[in-house]
Amino acid sequence: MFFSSQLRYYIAKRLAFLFAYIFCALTLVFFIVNSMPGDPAYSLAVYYMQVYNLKFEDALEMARRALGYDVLKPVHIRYVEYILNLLRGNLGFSLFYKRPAIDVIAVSLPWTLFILTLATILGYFMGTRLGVLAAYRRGSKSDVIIYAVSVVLLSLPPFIFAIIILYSLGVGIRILPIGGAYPVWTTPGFNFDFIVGILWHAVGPVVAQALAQLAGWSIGARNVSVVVLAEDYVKYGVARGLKKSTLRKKYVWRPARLPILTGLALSFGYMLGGSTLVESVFRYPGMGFQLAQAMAYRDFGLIMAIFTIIIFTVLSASFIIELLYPFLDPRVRTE
Amino acid sequence: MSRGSEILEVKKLSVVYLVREGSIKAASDISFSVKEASITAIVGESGSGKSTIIEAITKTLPLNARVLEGEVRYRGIDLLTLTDEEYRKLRWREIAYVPQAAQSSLNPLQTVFEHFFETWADVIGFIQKEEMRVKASELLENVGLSRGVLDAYPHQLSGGMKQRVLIALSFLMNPKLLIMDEPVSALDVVNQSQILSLILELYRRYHPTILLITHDLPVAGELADTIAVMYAGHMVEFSSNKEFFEDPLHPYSKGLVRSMITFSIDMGLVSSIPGEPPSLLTPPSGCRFHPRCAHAMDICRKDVPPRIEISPGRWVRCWLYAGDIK
Amino acid sequence: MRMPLFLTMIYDELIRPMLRNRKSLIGLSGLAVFVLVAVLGPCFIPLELKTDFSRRFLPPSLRHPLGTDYFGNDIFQQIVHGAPVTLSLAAAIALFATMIAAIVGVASGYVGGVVGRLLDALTNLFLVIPSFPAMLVIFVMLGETHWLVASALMAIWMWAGSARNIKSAVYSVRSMAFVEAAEGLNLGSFHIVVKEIMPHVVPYVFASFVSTFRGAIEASIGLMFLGVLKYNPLHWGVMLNLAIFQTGAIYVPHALHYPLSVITFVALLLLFTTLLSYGVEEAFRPELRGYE
Repeated sequence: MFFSSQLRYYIAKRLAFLFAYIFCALTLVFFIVNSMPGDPAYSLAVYYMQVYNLKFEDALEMARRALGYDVLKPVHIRYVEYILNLLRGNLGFSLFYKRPAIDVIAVSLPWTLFILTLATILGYFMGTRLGVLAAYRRGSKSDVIIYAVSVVLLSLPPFIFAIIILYSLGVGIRILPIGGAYPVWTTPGFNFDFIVGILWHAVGPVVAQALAQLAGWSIGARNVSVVVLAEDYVKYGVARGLKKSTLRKKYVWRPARLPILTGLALSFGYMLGGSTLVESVFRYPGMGFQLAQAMAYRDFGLIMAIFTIIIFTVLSASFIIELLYPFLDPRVRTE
Repeated sequence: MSRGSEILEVKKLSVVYLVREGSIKAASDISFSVKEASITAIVGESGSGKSTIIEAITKTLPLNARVLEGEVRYRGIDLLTLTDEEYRKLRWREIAYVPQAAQSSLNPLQTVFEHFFETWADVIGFIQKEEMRVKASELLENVGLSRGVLDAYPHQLSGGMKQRVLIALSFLMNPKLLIMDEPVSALDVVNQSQILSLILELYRRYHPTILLITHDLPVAGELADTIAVMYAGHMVEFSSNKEFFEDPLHPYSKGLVRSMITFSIDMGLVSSIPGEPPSLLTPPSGCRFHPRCAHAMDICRKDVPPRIEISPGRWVRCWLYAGDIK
Repeated sequence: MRMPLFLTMIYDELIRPMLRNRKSLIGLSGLAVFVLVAVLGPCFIPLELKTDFSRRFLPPSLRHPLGTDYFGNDIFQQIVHGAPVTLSLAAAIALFATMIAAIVGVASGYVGGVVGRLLDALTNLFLVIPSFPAMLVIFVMLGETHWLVASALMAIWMWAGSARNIKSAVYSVRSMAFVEAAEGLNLGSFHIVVKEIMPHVVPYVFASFVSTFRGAIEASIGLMFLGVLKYNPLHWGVMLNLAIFQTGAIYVPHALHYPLSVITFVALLLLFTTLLSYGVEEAFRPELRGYE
């Protein structure tokens, strides 16, 4: 049944779409960036002149290199060079750190993924279970309370929560640290202090991201489950005398999982986008924070590199989730 | 319980659905009884309340339904007073149900076999998978399906096949009371006649009591011993098959029988009933059929006619017969 | 259509469902208060921006209802004057985005075929690219821009979701019987689109506008908070940036009232628009209703 030829076709098709989307997204961004009115190299050069105390021509040369292209070359050649560079793994150069952008990303991306994974586990798994529970008890007080709280939580973007958490727990009560990924007095490695330190420093960003996630998932799961509960096959299952636990697991939870899963990929992209803000508030050294810093220092090379990685990550995440589909829904297996 | 006694007695059952605009009086003051090992057909148009009665009996009413009053006595026990868990003990072993929506009643994420297995496991108890396969294959063969169907997913089966699966499932525990909601309505003519013969054959073999819902009068005529007619939430006539088709009493029944198209009837005699069924949100006063009835009298507009017994086991709700027997 | 008929139609189709739904009613009332403040506030409350460090971070008092900021300026005045700035920017973004979404959605829903599929792919592409990082990159490269240009550039990343909804609405309306009847009568594509399809799609367009408006508030505040878009120091996002990052208020406990006031108003605005957006979606898409 698994890995039949139909399944292989499905995987191949999804993979092709993945590459197509990545390619189109990067192309789109490349052309948007390059067709900006005015010469960004110019304003960048002005900035460099002030900061690095250079003559204008030198500054302009530096700016051109930072942007990763030579304005003198025609667009299509620049584009081909860009693509070739990407394929070689060359994401650009960071002027601020004076190293290849990929080095900066390699150090910071894991922290971001760490936060997002924890936040997803917390938000998605708890939220969806809450949502299904609420759907089961529709109309009751617990349903209304869960729903009302979720709507309120959902209306605030993660960075607002980040600010609130930072203020109340970080500055106010001094429970949480206000910077960095781990305490400065611990040494990195697999020792107990370090691991606890990591978790402690991660609480702020994780909770900030997770709260909005939790709310979103509980409402989403509730809505989907309400629809599922009204399905004929649930009614027939009840008529057959199935136990409540069977109905809950196989007749409500499993069908509801499918549309909910689709939303997971989108929410991952949203979280990744929001990580810039959340990490900035907490000064947490993830990729989002690097992006914010790079923007402040006009480090265009690093900016573009991070953006490329963001696109790649989001698309890959949705691809991986799409791979899960045939395992969950037999109708997809025989498409 | 001897043959011929009442296995199911419905007394004064009234169910409404609550909607934004008010309440829909789906079933009002329904009373009838079903003899053991008989086939009773409840006939009526869509919206007449027949499905509501079934939902009340099988406790699968939607969330916005309310049972205002009434009893549903199965072998003496009032089903409406049972808790969900107490009723669950009766499900499938005693009372089984073939739903109307064959297309969407099977769980799309599991195979046909899993449906059989889980029903047995949850209702009776543990069983070896192999044992279950044997049982299920036998049931499928009874309905004319090959045992390969066991490993198929619902979306891989045709409508007719799914209907047969549902019927096979209903006989899993040899229930005493089998309720079938429009078992052949969604099928083409060829499948229809096959399923009808199938039902009759299964009846002859297992002798369940069958309660059949249909809007198709010829189907009722072919299968049932007893016919009950529903109109606009009221049960208006109840009589044996023979007596019904020879001499329908209620004006609505007369209209139904006249509008049946069979091969032997002269087309000149076929007519339809003028008008449309009323809204159950604000049903007509008195006898709900009076706006369409050629024989409507003053009292029909004012009061709901009571059950008037014409002969034992045969009654009608119509003021036309009030003078005869009181 | 004649004017009075048109107005009654708007009332029946758009306004009344919104008033009936509880969420949208609360959201609408809250938002109305904000709009009122935005429109009338600046008339009644003057704006005095004088840098006076001796009056820095004064706590709330009768004279300064919300206290003063880093520069000694009254926070309440800034909030009131910042309201129209914040709201109008978000409205412009939502307007542009919804227009694009309506055009793309109707085109791909009605035309179908190769064009339809191309538009679908385009919509998917913009859906998949995370909008906030994309906006960050664009605005960093761009530098100073006029606010309308900035709105348009932001709108580019916000139309995709609405376009998808509108397209499926058009698609389902299109297959309804009366459209087939109109097509059979050979009434011409333009007529069909405008007269037959649009009236049924308008609620979806409106719902899209409201939810895009909410997203635009969040996105614009986020962008200003990071300092990427420096548009108007009274915009609440810029105020937030100043409060948290620039002026070190985070590390000065007794200045809590400064970021707290800005956050409170931002949070309330988002809360009301979110409620409104959910309520409107429920009102116009009955399948989402929890229960009758």
